[in-house]
Amino acid sequence: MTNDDLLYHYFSNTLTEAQTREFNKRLEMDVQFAAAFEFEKNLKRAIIQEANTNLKTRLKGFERDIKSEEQRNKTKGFRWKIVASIVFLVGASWLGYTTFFGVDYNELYVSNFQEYPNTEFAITRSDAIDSPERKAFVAYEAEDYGNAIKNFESIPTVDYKAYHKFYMAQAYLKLEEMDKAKSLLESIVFENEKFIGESQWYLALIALKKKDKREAIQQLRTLTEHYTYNQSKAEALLKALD
Amino acid sequence: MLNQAEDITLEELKQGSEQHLRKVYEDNRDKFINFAKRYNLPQDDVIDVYQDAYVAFYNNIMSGKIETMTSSISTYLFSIGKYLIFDKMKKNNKTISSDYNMDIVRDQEDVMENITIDNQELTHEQQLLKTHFTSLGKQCQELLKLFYYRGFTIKDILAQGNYNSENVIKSAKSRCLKTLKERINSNS
Repeated sequence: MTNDDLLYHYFSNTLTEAQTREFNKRLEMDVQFAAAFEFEKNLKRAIIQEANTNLKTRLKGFERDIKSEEQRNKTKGFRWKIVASIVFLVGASWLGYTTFFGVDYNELYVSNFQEYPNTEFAITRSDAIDSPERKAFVAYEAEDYGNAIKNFESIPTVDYKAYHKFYMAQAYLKLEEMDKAKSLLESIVFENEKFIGESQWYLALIALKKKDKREAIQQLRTLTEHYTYNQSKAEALLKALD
Repeated sequence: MLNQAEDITLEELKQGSEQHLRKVYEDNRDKFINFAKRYNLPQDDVIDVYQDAYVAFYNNIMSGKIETMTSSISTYLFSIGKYLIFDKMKKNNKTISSDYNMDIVRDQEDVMENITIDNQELTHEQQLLKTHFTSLGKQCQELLKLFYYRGFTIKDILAQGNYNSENVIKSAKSRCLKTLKERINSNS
């Protein structure tokens, strides 16, 4: 039996008793075999750690979702009481203000929003593996955003990549599910992952959509001060909001 | 014992879909926080331990240490969580009152007999391997993960239908390992 065969059986837990004896013997006597074993053992640990890091990142994402949901519920109860008491007064004056002097947030959103193209996953006809990731990007490119999300969500932990979150957020934006998109983009910024500048841009657009001027300005300022993505567009938007 | 996530099977957990992972996380989170209250840890630490316990639990499923669920998922999470809390307290030089040990539930002890918890830092070589592993092509990463992380045999990998024969898989695996070695050597 070759060294490779013995190592294969060891790592797939299929060594027979005789093979185990042979394995231990070679480990003691054969330096090359011992080195190959050490290499694969280390690789196994490195791969497990990589998967653990990915899983922990995902768990942190779940936690953030729970916390923001809790926060929303907490403020909702308080908010409705004060909102009810001032809605009439503010509503009337706000309507008048936005009609004559205000910013048309929706127009700003529509004229600036453009979904981010797939730059991460090359879809080729000859792909042997029809993985959930491939299915997700095929759906994304076909503008079938519901299916794209479904497939992104079914990507196994071991295959998780930071950019999946970004494209899932894009799909939610196209479906106008702003809160879900926001939560994913915030987690990208929080984790300092790939597409951080881009995420900042889309967070600013979400704030526009929600007519949250202060938040939009804050996101745009962070973008112009720290990142290069869509610099001129961000500056133009800041001027429009000024 | 009742299993509170009865609708999620071990196999579904192994697949690691977002939906299943999230459900298990949400179903057990509040119970874990309540359980951990007795240890007087700050809430952020409790959440951190809960996540580490979840990762360790998941690892034991993937490595085949947990082949069948003999207890509920929460029992596994509480047992691992308690071990991690004690470990954290020891590292912070906090004494563990004997009251804590009296709290140990019998089936939690049984659960821990079959669990492995690896909380050692990676060695320098392992760290290098981790870095270079992520620079490998997608198919190599996938193949090596199936083998070393999910514990698939060559036959299991063949059954997935992405390769034509066992020999093709063996050669592909050898090539991937060779590339990895070359990258590490050229870096050192």
